[in-house]
Amino acid sequence: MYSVDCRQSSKNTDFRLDPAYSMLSTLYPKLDTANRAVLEQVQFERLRSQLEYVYARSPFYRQRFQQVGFCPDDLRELADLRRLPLLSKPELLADQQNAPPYGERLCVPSDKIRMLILTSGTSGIGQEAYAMTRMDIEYGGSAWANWFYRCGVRKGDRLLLTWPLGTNSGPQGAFLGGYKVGANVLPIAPYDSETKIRTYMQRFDPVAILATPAYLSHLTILCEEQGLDPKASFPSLRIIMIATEAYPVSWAQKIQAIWGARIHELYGNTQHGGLAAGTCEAGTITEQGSRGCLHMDEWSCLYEVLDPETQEPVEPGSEGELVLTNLFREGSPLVRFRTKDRVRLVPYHACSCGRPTNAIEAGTIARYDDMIKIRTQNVWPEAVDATIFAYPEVEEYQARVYVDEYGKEQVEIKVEFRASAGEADARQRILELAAAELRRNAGVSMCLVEASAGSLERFVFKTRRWTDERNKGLERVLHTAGGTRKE
Amino acid sequence: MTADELVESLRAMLSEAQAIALAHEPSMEGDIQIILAILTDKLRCLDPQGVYPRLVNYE
Repeated sequence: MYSVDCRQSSKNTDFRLDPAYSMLSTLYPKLDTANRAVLEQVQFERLRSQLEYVYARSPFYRQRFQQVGFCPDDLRELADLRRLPLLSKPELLADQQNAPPYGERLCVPSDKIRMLILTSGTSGIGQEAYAMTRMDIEYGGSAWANWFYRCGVRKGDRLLLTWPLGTNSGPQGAFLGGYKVGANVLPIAPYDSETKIRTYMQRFDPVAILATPAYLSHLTILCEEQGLDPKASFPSLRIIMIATEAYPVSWAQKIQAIWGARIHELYGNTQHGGLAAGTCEAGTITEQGSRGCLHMDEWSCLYEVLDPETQEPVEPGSEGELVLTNLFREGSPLVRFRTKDRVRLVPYHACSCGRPTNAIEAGTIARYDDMIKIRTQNVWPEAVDATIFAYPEVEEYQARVYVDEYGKEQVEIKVEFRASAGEADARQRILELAAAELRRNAGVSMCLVEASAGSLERFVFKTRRWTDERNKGLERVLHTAGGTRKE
Repeated sequence: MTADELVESLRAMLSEAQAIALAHEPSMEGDIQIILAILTDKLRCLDPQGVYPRLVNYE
């Protein structure tokens, strides 16, 4: 039986828990205390309304519905949604190309659009464009605000955001969510890590911080190098919020001990438009040392976890691909979109917090395709292939993503040249040009170095060119930070 | 104030905001849409079983 006992783990007195963590004090009590039947009734009403909406307004969806002989009136129960075909990223990109910039799935006139958000990643490969109406923006912010509140963030609490604001949905949603929950929001992404610690964290003593696991490791190691004990130096900090990467339980336990704060995790995606799932009061790990869970925002999205091969729903406790349908989105809604995210389904009743929403296991979200998330940016190996192999002098390359000795995420690409590639100066110039292009296109700096002739393995499948060694780097925190370092 | 009273008050505010939005007063145009969006979204979260018009239908 799959179960997560949140009540037990929330008894942990090592953490400065806010008594308001209780279910009696939630931001939206009717959402958190409703029973599953009410949730499913609301989902059904919203789904019917959403399908009618997209059918009436979007030629893209009308055509898809008609192709399978489906009319919104045919929806008699939630399961009827499965009569509609799954929607893939290439289909969205093709739609955008045919009717730029938003595609025919756009459901509002241009004067109703208030903001554009894009999926992060290499231009031309991964960037889906989403039009956001005022309502879409509010709804995204509310999902974040609700989760912040669930983590323990309260009015006036100093909330540090380390994610850079841009066209991605996550950072702007986090900013708006903090604003809506009443926190004192400090978006400190533009500053270097030392300035973040010395100027902002020490000066303003935050209650909560949002970071990636790798960046948190980096801050931990930096603190140690500067002789700072995080628990003593930031006495108000009791909430650490992370996302975007999987991590070992041992890492999370160590970070909690070092910082004296509880770790919470969120799962967000542009397709949801806000915060798709987040931990409840218990955080990412239970007192027994097992992984916690992230409750999905099922009030605004209908989630399916499907076997990617058979497209049938998986059993609770099993892994599958997350497929989402927006229930209340105006600008660029999605119907049965395949996220390619691999998640483990945790049924709502397995978590003792009492929320009616199903969940996914914390710390294990991965991908079915070869996309790699690096410093919050989506990077597709095939896009890197396109940049590097655009130079005919290049024979092969091999890349690894790792966490360096300072806890920073790095990408090293070894490039092997053909014998006819020219002198060393010319090869060096190619490396520099390719690195600049990759930085411009992918939004991530990568270190390109030359490999000697014949030293790199030749690959049949492109994904094998890439190795992800970041978990090893996260585990380094176990040995180097928090007073356990051997001199 | 009870939860029901809060929802009623928000509904009344939404109604007033809708009336102001219909005036298409340039000095209020963007701001009133923000207010409408906030109220509609708040009602959706506080009273999930209520039925709310989509913002674009009455902006």
